[in-house]
Amino acid sequence: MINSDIELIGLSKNYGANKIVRDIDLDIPQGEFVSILGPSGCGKTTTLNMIAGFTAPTSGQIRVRGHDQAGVPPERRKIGLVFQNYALFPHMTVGENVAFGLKMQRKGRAEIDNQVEKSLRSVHLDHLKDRYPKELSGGQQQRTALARAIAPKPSLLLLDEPLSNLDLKLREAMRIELKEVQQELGITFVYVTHDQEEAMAMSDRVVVMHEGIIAQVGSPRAESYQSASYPAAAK
Amino acid sequence: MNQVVSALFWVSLVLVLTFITLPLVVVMAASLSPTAVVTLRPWEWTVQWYGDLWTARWLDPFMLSAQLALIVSIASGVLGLLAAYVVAYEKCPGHAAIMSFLLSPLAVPQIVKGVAIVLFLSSAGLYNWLGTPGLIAAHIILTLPFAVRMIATAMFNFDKNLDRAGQSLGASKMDRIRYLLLPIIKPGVFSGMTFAFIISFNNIPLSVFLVRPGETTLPITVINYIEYSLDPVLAAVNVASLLFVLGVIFIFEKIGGFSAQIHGGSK
Ligand SMILES: Nc1ncnc2c1ncn2[C@@H]1O[C@H](COP(=O)(O)OP(=O)(O)O)[C@@H](O)[C@H]1O
Ligand SMILES: [Mg+2]
Repeated sequence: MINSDIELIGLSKNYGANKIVRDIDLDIPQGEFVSILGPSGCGKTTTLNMIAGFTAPTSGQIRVRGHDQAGVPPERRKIGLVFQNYALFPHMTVGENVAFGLKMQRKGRAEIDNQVEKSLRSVHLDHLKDRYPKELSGGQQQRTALARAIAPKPSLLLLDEPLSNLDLKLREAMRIELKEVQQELGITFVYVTHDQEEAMAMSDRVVVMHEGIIAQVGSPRAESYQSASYPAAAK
Repeated sequence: MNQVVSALFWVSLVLVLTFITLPLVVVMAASLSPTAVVTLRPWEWTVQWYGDLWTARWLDPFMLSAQLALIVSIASGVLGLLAAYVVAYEKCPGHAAIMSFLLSPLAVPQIVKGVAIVLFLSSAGLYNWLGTPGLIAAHIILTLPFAVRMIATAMFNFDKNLDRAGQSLGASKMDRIRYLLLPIIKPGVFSGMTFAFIISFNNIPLSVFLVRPGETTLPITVINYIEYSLDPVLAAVNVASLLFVLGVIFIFEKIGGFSAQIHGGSK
């Protein structure tokens, strides 16, 4: 319990009669890079939304560092989020986007500048601080979203298919960058993807989801996982 | 084939532009007419009629119309923002029906609205509302649907993912409204306010029921003047109003940045 960052206990979500997430149990230790791998529509985003607090579970419990999150609004969960479509604030520069979380915490000017600088440097974007999002390439937007999410130093980052809008080459380069950032900061990453190769390349542990249940959990290098069939593979 | 299409395109473009600008050109030329009877002799011209505008006869109605339009555009902007927020952002129960209701005054002819307002004010015994207070109320009723419409469209287009991103970064509801929603819909708010301003400033059909001697708007003053004479002062009034309205649009655009929205960019 002491070094568990997130615990999902019997977590379920129904939309009407549709059971989207069914009785999930998962324990994620502090500092781990976990991938949730599964075909489109299997309930990955719904699970992330419950952890982030945007969707209330139908039943079950979410604990973050031992604390039950029931009734805690998203803005007080201190969980970083990277969206598939980046969701950058179009009226703010890269620097202002990255500063937003710190500004919301009412941090001082100097601390904000310092932390923005640091976050941008760790995603190699320090030279684009004054650009607007629409003046950036897809990969740069992706990195801005990452920098914005890590700047307030969350202990936990949720990433929902963050690379799926990038082309293959960039995707492969970004995998390495993401992994580096995660190791540098030592924070827990919950990484959602439908790309098996991506999950294998980055994660300490892969959670295979299928129609709302956890079908398999394993290390990407474990023999058992390698030989297992991944249902409805995306490729 | 392509050349024919291209030629047709240019010809129609020129025709449309001519069609739009010709009345303006004629009015401008008329306002410079050397004689009291409007003549079009470009080689003889005078600006004396513009000097005549600088008298109480024209300045007072202008001041009333300008103040009225400013108050009305601000009121419609604020009320429209509040209405659009509940309907288009919070999506309160029955929001579609409420939206239709808010837009429904558009279907009522202005003359009918004018009569209704006068009847209402007099049957409610609010005689001293006739005049400026009535004008303000009537113009807000007239312009509010336009403002609501434009602001609600901007709110509908607001990407809810941005709100979630803000939330995950620790922004409270007030923070999100202040730092995300309002700046992003600002162009929509200001275009709604600009419309309200122009509609109010040019309005005749409603104002005609509510003006009083000494409290007459500029368009009504023009109408009254036409009954007695048709001289170049009227053209000068029109040109001056046009320049004024263009100036207002320019200022609103500077504050609100809505041409960026129309042209599909930001900053
Ligand atoms: N708000 C909702 N109302 C009803 N059904 C929903 C809602 N959100 C998601 N779903 C359904 O839940 C299923 C899983 O969605 P999602 O979690 O987005 O899958 P994934 O992210 O794995 O592709 C889908 O079939 C989707 O239609
Ligand atoms: Mg998804």
